[in-house]
Amino acid sequence: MIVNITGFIFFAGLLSYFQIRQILAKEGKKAAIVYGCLMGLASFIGLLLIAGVDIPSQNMIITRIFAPIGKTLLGK
Amino acid sequence: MFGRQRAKISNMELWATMFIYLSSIAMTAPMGVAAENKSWLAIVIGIIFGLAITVIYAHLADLNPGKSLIDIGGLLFGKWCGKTIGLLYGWFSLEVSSYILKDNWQMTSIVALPRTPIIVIAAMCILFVIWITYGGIETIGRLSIIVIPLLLFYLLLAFIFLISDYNLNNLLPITEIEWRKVFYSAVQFSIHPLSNAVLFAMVFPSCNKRGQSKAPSLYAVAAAGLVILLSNIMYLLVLGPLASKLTYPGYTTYSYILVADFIERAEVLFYTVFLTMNIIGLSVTFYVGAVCLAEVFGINNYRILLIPLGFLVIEWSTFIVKNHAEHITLIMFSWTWYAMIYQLVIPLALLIFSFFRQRGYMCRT
Repeated sequence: MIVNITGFIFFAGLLSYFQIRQILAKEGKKAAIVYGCLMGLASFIGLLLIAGVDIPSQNMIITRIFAPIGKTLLGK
Repeated sequence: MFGRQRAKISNMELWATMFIYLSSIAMTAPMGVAAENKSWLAIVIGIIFGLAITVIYAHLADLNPGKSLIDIGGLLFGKWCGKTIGLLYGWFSLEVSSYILKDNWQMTSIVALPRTPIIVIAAMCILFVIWITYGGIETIGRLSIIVIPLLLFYLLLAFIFLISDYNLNNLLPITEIEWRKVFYSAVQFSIHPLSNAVLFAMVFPSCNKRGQSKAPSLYAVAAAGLVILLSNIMYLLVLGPLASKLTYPGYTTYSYILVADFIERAEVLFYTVFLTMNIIGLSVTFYVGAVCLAEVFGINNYRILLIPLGFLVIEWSTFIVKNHAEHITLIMFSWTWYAMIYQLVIPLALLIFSFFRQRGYMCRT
């Protein structure tokens, strides 16, 4: 698992480094910040998944709120 | 005006993209499950509901030519409200992207590559999607035009070759109709898949004929509804009550094709069409997600967001639903009402306010 995590961090870091340099030159600071934030979020979630952390899905909330409507209408 | 507006597509390309996108969503999951062997009736009613919903967002786009939902929201309620609408639709399109990607790797894993890790299948698919999306909406439109004859040819082939397997009794009894179930399924069908085309409200500003998006949208929804209806009737005729219980009724139906003991294993054809259409459908939702976020954050080029969003969609697709039972429960009872917020409530509210705003403006002038 440690090898996987290290490999993933290295890959994401290297990709971000080259992409951000290019984005800074062509699109400006704001675009580079947005790219960095999204890549950071993607890397964080990726690390959690590699580490085997059970990430809750938004479906739990959707089901809790909306399933009673569907069940009532369908008569279940 | 952002990068996406530079691309221009014709009404024909818009129609083709919508048609392929809507048909691809309906390819894996059985439609109108609650109505069982009356699912065809639910689909017919669902097409009418779906067309009514399409009129809402297409009319909204025609009232505000060249403007996306974010621009319209910003115009009516202010900049921050427009950005909130953009974030909501960005979230929704990426959520739908994750479901489509999950469908892709799940089916590939079950029928074609059972020993390949799902992350490899998902990564290969998303690489294709990033490549297509990088080309823009024009590329997606032209790709859709190429795929349509293939889809229709395979469907026709199945219709002809399966004639010997049709059992008309599978459609009986026709007179005993549980209207509650039929209407529930009809509403479900009108929302998922037909009204998923609301995401095209972000594509309408790229049409080369501004303010004329209603006709291609309505034709696309009607044509996709018709293809899904015909497929559904074919599945019912061949599989009977089993059709509403299977995960992939289309795949199973195609596996029944056997002509003169040498034309067999036709399910591979179904899988090929599924894969192609799934990638196009995913490209549409992925494109819309990237365009929404680019517009919200004021980025001129949505393309720079494709790689991080690709990572996020792959990751999201692995935990969006824990198992198949959870997926079925979600689709059956919750998804319709959740998706209705994006597909009906927000566009309808925008349309009403847009209408009154334009009327007020006309009265003043």
